[in-house]
Amino acid sequence: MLRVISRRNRALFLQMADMAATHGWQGYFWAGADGRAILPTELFGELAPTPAQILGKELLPEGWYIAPVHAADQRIAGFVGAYAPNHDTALIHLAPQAMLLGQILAREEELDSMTAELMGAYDLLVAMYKVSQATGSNLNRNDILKLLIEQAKELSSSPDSLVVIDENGTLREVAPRTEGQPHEPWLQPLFQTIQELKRPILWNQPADAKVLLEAPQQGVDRCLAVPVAVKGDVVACLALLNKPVPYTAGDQKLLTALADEAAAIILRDRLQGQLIAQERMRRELEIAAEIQAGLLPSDLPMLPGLEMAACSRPAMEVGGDFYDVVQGPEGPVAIVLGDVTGKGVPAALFATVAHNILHHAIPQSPNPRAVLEELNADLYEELTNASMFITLLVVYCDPGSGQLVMVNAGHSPVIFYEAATGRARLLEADGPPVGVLPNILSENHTEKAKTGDILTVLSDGFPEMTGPGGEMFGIDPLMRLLEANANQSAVEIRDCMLAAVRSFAQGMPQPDDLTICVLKVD
Amino acid sequence: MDLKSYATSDGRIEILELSGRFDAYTAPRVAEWLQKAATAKPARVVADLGQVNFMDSTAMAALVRGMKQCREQKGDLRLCGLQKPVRLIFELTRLDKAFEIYPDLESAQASWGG
Repeated sequence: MLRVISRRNRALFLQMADMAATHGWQGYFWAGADGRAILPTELFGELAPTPAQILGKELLPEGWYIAPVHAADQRIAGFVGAYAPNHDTALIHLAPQAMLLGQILAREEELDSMTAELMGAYDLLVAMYKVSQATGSNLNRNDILKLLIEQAKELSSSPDSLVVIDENGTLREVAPRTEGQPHEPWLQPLFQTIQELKRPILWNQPADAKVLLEAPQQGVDRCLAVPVAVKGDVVACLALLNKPVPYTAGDQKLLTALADEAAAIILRDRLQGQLIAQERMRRELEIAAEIQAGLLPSDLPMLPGLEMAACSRPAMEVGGDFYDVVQGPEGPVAIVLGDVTGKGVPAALFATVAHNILHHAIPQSPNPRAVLEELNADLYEELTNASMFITLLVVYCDPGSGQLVMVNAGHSPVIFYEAATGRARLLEADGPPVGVLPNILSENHTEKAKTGDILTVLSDGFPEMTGPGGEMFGIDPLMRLLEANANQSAVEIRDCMLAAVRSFAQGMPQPDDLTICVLKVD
Repeated sequence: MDLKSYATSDGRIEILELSGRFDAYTAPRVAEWLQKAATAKPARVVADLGQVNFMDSTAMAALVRGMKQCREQKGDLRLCGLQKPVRLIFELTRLDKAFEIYPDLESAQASWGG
């Protein structure tokens, strides 16, 4: 250690040697901890002490004096010596010189360590900068993690490194120790251990690894592995391997800093993944809503003596309500309104299927009940498995005679307004909904509609529309509303019923789909 | 919504007591209970709805599913004690034709005989 000072402080040695001369000493030297002379580089003359003598293993020749220089940790860092025959003062003066040199040595060591720390911090900053540049680029998660571990490998002078990541319970090497090599068997226990401990693990000799992991490691004599934690869960591990000298606390600090960066990268990647999935879902729902809206008749048929209006407003993007107007087999028009239990995608799927079945079955059959039976037979099992059912009204309508033949499977409300009495009445279902029982209990029911009569079929979203106090709109107000607006057109009746329930809700979210069909005899 | 359940002293019938609002949020709990109860053979269950003040279509669908499961196991899910608003929903949807409904628990239990 004194050698380091002597290189940097040759001027100091010369000054001290001059001072020795002024004392009248005839020789002056510094020696290293091994007892070999440093300055002057060789000690000449028969009387010059040997290294063994300087180290105190042998007796010093007469006239020579030695004082040890102690480093900060009290180790002997070297010696200061003088040849001063007849000058006892040398012994007194050498000790403070040795102490002074010890102090200088301590400061030099401190400076070296601070410089090394500063260089380490600088290297880390450069590494973090490179990683942050990569993070902002178009590189994917795995490429950024590879770049990150490469930086750590370089900074720590490790020949090997790896990054493993837990992907839904399966361990994946995103930056393997050797490209193309099979999974190393010790990685699983390493990752499990680090997941349990949630702190870095380190071994500087193979024996420690065996104790730590209880698994054989192939060609890994030294290892520093740190966890990468996202929201408290260890999701990945960065590891540096086989540094020629033991890993230090500095290496651990470096890798831990990079592990924090890796955690941010993994979290960002996950959030991006979630955003993409959400966007995909949103787009799919949009498409589903378009498909569902496309299935509803865009234009209702214009029939002499019959006025029709209908619409459907799902509570979510897609809904379980549907309606259709289909030409029957013998001319009359069939009107269908159905409501699948629940809301959202599952209900929408059944609504779409039921809609399709009915759309194709109605033109084949003159009997609405037979159509209902066919639908029940087709969907009973699927509806059972999905815990769903469909309330449904099918009305065959002959505009010429005003005859309405209808079958109602648990659907409500169906309101019939008779112009002759000025009163509206509820046409109740006579059988449970489709999908409840293996057979259909409902029978065909006939009404004779006259001029001014109105059939209004609504989904239960209308009576169950909820006000701010939690109270429901109910069926009676719908009947009164129909009576009050009976002289209006079918379109006006539809719109005033929609407006009434919306006004009742006073901005509260629509709890269920709203679907309405109005049929008015002119 | 509260859900209480017990078996009759002879162990032949499972009783499910529900109270409060029975809707899409509470239906999954009932559906889960019914699915377990329907593993017995014969699966005889009475759902006492005496304290239920509201039911929506999802809740009714849960009962329909339970009824089908019980019938598959040579049993049944029978209902009792329906309050007026709940009874009205069963009447409007005609689910009263699909279920056996009794005025009270005693008559529902007695429907299976001694």
